[in-house]
Amino acid sequence: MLKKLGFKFINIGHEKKKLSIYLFFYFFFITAPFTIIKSIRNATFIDKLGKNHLPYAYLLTALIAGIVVVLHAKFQSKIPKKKLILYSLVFFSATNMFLFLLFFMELRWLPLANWIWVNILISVLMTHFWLVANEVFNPREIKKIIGFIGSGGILGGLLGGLLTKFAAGTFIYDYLLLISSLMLLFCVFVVAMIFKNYKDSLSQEKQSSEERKGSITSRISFRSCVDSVRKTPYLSLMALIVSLTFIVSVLIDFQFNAIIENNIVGENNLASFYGLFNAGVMIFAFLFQILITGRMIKRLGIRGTLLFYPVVLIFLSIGILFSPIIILAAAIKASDKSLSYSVNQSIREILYIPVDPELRYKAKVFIDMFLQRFARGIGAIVSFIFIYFNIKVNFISIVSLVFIIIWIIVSLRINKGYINVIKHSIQRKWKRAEKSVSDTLDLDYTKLVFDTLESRKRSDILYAMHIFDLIRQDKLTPELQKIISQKSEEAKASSFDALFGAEGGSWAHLTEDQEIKKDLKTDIDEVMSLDSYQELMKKYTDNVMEKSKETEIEKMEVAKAIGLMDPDSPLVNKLKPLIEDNSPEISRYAIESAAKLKKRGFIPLLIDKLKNPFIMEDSITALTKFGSMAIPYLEKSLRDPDVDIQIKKGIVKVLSRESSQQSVDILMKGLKMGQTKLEEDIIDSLDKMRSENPGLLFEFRFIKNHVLKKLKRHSQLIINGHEFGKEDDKETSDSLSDIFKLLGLIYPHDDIMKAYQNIKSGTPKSTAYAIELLDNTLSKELRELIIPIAEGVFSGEENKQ
Amino acid sequence: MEIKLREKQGVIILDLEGEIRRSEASDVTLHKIVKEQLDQNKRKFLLNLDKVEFIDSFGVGEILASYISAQNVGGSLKLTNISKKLSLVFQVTMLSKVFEIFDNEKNALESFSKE
Repeated sequence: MLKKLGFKFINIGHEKKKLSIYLFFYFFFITAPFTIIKSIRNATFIDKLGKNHLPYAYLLTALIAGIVVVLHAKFQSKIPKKKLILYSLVFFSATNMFLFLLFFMELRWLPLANWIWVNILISVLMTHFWLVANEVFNPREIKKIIGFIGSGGILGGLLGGLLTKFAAGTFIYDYLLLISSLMLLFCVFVVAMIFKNYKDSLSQEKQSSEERKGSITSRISFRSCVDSVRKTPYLSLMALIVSLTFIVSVLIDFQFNAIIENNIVGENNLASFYGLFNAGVMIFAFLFQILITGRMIKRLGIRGTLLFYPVVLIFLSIGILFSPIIILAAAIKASDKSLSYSVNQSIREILYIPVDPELRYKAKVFIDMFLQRFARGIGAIVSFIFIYFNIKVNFISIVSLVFIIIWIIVSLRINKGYINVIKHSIQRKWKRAEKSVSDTLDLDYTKLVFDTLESRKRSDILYAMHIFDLIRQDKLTPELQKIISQKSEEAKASSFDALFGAEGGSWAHLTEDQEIKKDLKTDIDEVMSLDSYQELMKKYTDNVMEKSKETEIEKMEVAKAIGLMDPDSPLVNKLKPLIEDNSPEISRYAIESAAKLKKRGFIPLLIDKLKNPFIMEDSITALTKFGSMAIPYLEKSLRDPDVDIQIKKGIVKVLSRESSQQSVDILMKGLKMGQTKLEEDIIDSLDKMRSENPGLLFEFRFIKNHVLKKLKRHSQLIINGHEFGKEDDKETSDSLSDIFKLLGLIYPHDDIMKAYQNIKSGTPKSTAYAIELLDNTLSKELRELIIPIAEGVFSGEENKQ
Repeated sequence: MEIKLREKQGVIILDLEGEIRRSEASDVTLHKIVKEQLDQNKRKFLLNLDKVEFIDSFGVGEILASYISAQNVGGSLKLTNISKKLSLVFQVTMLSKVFEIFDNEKNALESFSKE
């Protein structure tokens, strides 16, 4: 039943559906009485005072609005928000009834006072309404329901307008103000229900403590409201747009009323016309809101929607400039009002939502209550000028056009501002660790230290060579020397304590002196370069290589020693069989030495060793040290279909550490080759490189098409019954991770990662902002596939449907 | 080396025993176990090195690789019960700046709950 009535329009979570219904009626019972009051206001003003007094009304309204804002701020700091809103409704209902009584007295000043009072009524009540809406819903929810709740306001206006139209000229007309008062009183009940239900939904929803703190509790002053807007560039742009909108609106209103005054005479005729006109505007606004607003926001985005309204006014303003006839006057006024109530109001509220709640409240108080009226005052001054100099009313269009062009320029800027505010509303939850680890550690040094300590109990020769290696690299620090030189009373044992007490302790003692270290380096290098030493080592090496497995330690020593020699030493050739040795210990030392010597001939051997999990990491490190020399070999092996998959995975890791444009290009080729077993590794490596080096270039079109393919596959996974985005479904989870890593290659990486991480593990609010960020960042084609998936990760049911 | 798994307060505790060295490594390495747990959506890991007698460069590489794998998916890996001597080496090599190291399991588990 409810679905037939309208629930189907509301595409949000169940707990929020009731709140949106209440907001619909809240809006309805504000705009219905307002339209009645406004129609009567306009009719009595034009009939009793005439259009030439309109600028006075605008100016006085602007002045008094400032006082109202100050008073409102004082009340707001003393009274809880709920009570403030309810008391305001009762106040305006009561004052409306008072005015109803005063109208029978035919006071001359009443139409002007009524004009001002009506403007204050609507600015306060509308501000309150949108404050409640923004607090109850997040940006994603508002976008979905804005059409629905906006239509409540429009229907209310429609009812109010029609009631006025048909009551004009009958006895009911005299009681319309009373009827509007009763509607405002009914609104009190609706608002009370909203607060009750909001409180209930808050207790069900997990909110972070930061979000709870964000609810408005602090005292505010008018000054702080002004400062908030002034100091925040985004809010300043909002203020400027609102000001321009209302300046233009006043100019259009003045043009319209001037043309109407020239064509319709008598209060009853005017009331009838205004009633019918306002009703007609509301019908148009309602249809526009229901049928077009939501679609427009979805299709055109924030920017396109922001531009629609001023562009329409440009055309109509030009029309009136050349032909100030009643039809065009009605058209421009109708467009201004209907688009203001529908598209403009909706998009403005969306622009407010990502702003910090306290800042938003202050901005709304200043902008919606004061600045709107102030802007009308500026419009009034322009109107004054036209009256004073008796300039024809159609030339107001020229002034309107100037303001509209500025409005368009500001709209383009605020769109960028909106995206930035969204970005800053969400935080990155984690970053890749490779860079932070490599920035903190010298991995080679770390491994050498552990190897040095480990070798003490295995081989004095190895130990000595490690110490020499440390000295050579100038890495034998005093702290390390202390650790090495610590003695232990225990005999050789396999415990760590015993290592520090082993025979090698005397080595460290020798190396305390810098001069000794320097001399030691020179002496050992000299000895190593001697032909006799080389000859001796060659004989020793041949001897060791011929022996069996018992010579593991000797082979390790030889492998290490070769790494300390000159790259042109003939002994370097002896490294190959050591690299190929089955013992991971021997192989590892040989690989390390190969990395130091950087002989091209070692590269294929090192690549082959990538398939051994115990020395894969050593091979990767070694190949990375070869740099660009290794790239052609790596590329060739990656392309070769006969090469072992584990080797290819190792190559991908090498290329990611190389992190150059060349590596990127090779990996992209790998991705294009469609090697599905490597895809995840390649994507992860590209993501790593992108995060560390934002200057790297990735082929946009290919990546985008690849993402689209993966999205379709991902959707298929979901349809085939995999758990929707649930963590325990590895395939779906990995698929989603890959999709976002690919997106991070062609869109701002940090933004995409923020969005992904908050979708996966953020609060409901941060998830909504994350999706909103994607909505404003990605191309249309990607958006249409990703947003439903992202929303589905957050709430599985709706998107399964 | 032996690796035993247990779970406490949502944290996977890996009790390592023996020597973490290349020559003693089996097919089931520390990094492999951590990756399997990550695939099952576990995100919090605590390495208990109370009974670890020795670590070589391979072992350090395994611990670092496990740490990086956990961090890259939003998880965390911490250490506890390392010996004084090992702690000194960790300081000298700046590993203590990479890992969060705790004196005992209780403190380590508390740190996870504060995240």
